[in-house]
Amino acid sequence: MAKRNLIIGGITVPLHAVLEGIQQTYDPLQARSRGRLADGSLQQRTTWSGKVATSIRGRGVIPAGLQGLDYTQPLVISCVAHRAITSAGRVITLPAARRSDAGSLPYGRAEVMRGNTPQWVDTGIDVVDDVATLTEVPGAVRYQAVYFPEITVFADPPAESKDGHGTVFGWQITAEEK
Amino acid sequence: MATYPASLLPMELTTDRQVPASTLPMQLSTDKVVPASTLPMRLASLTLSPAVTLPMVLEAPDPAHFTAAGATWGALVVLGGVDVSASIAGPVSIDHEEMASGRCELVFSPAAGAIDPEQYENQPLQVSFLGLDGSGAEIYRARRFTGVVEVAIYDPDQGRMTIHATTDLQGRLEGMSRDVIAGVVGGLYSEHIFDDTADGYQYALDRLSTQPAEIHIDNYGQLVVVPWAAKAVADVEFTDANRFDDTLNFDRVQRRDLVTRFTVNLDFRYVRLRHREMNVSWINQLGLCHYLDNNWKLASKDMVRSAADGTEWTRLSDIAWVELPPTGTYCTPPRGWAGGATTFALGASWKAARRWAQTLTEQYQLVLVAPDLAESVGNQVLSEDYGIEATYDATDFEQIKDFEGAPGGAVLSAETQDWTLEATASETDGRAAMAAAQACVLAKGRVEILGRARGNRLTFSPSYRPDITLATTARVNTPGLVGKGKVRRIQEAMDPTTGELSMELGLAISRHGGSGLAVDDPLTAAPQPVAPAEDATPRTYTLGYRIGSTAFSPAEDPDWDGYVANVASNGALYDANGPVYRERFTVTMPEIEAAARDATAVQQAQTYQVAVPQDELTMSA
Repeated sequence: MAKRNLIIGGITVPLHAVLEGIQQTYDPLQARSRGRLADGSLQQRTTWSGKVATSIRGRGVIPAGLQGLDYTQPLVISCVAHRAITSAGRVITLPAARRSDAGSLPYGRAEVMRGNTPQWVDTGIDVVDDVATLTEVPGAVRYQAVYFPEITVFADPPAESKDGHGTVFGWQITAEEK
Repeated sequence: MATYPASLLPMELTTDRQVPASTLPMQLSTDKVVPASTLPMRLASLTLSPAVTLPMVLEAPDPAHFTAAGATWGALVVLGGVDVSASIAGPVSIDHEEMASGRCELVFSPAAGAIDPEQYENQPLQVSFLGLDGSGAEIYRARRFTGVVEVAIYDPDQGRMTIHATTDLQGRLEGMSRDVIAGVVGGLYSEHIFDDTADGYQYALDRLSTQPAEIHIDNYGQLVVVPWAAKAVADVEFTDANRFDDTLNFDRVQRRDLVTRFTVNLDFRYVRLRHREMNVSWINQLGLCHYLDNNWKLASKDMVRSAADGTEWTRLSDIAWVELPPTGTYCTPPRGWAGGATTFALGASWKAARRWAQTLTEQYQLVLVAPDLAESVGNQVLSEDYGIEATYDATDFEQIKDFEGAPGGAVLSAETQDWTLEATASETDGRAAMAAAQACVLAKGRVEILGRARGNRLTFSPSYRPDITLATTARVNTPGLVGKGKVRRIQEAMDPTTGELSMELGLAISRHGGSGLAVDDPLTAAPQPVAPAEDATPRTYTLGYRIGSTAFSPAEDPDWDGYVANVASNGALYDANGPVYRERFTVTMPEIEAAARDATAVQQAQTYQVAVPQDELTMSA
């Protein structure tokens, strides 16, 4: 995780604020309703989908210092947790809301079978607009493109804590994609 | 040799560019007669115009999309020309119902800035269902509501604007002229059945009440009239695979709300103009010889004429006289007669006529019966009374004595031996208007029976589909109930914030529960009843002579008519003790009898059968 930094609203969360650990979860958001028809089959109707809510928790030796942000306005969170799309083919469409700064660029991997054991090897990736084309790996069964989301959210000011013994500062921030 | 200034025929006129109009100055000359000339001509143009095309958008909901197990959709809401779909903050509910204005409620977040709810009121609102594919691209759109915002309510705490919109059926109809409403709605109308001063909305409802149909504003904002009858083959079928469980509900119409017998008592009152002709005869009872013997005073023609013309009756013909003979010798024993008595007469005859108006009331009892319905429900009667009076002022007819014959158009009635003319020619309240009123009220009664018989309600919640309208016939096919009827209510809600789609349909199911043998009788006016019979009275009236001053003259009766005179003192039959009559010539025409004068009523009854449709409905455990 040292390679990339969590950036919230333009403020890079210091490494020392996440020294003890950082944890990020993604909860997908969608407007969908399901109803069971009289013959038992389930019917689903969706309007919008593809948005995400995220929750980031960190523990470090210094506080994260995120109080000064304006939480009444949308913020951009450059996330540190990976999201990936697996595909049988080499051409994978990535969502537009992703990080493109150095150290957080999308990368690809391919699964090859070594004997009976599956093994993932790194492979090159070429992204044009939002379409990623992975370099072919001979004998690959499937490919995976990994990216880091960069989402515009409405966030809530962080909950902060401090453990009494030693200096361990915990913080947690939740946000929903705008 | 004659010269020909213009071209000869045949001709070919060719042009390589389009000309707007071509004219041909021509002269056709020939030195022999030809029956007809023909002009072989060809106008050739080298440029052609292509057919005109109209850019059109066809809205066709795709069943493959809305019947799929998983589907993506959107709502398109255009308010006052502005697309506010992205700011919808809750469910968009739409309610379409027969005979009512469609309603739509929705909530949206207005853009930041000053809020004026009035700016949204009276704005057009169009709500459409969008069928989207997986990536959110539009496959089709289906308009579900087109109307006008009635009320906009702003909630300042939430920052939300609630919109209530309507299709305003009543306002639309109130604003339409009667001609347009008559064209759109159809049906029958009579000012004797309905209130002629009513506004456009009531006029439309009145016309509609004579047809088994309903009116509403459809999802495209069009005023439509849709017949109640369910189609033979349903447009849509709902099985357990496309309806939600535990939502099926069937409400039968209450027995006391049904009508199996609709009775109309319609009275038609009019004036029957009558013209009676009477042959009046003053019989020459006594004869010239009796006169020569007794020398009573001869009746002068003037006296007879003034008496004949002095009655209520009008003399139609000239008086035919029994003249006194010219100079000569007459009788036995022979006596001489000077003659020259041309101003006197021994007898006379003429034709007189009397006119009067008699009021006649035709009482029609029209009964519409639905035998199938009566089999299962019994007798449930609804009754309406109407009266029509053919206005006619008969004073002129009765008072004016100056006429020469039967009134124009009168017919010699076989029942009464009088000339009769019914004063029912008025366009607004005459016989034709009465027959039209009968047809109108019969249609109205039939529709009343059919309307109540379709009061059964089948409601259920199907899987949402945007192609249902109030013109759709739907069939529900589930293990417990199979039924088919016309959709009469659609309540739908689209919530773009949660993805939820819901729809509740109400079907109208017409049932009679009987044997189904009834057949519709044509609803034509009942035939005119036969005029009441009257006892015949004589059409000839005779007058005679009463001669006084004789031994056998009876006592004078002041009511005598005819010629009353006295024998002269030198007459053969003279008796000084005999009664002396006052000499006069009286014509007392007979009175018109009460049966012919008094207002009379005559009845006519007619029964019509009404067949009630039986929509499919079977229920099983």
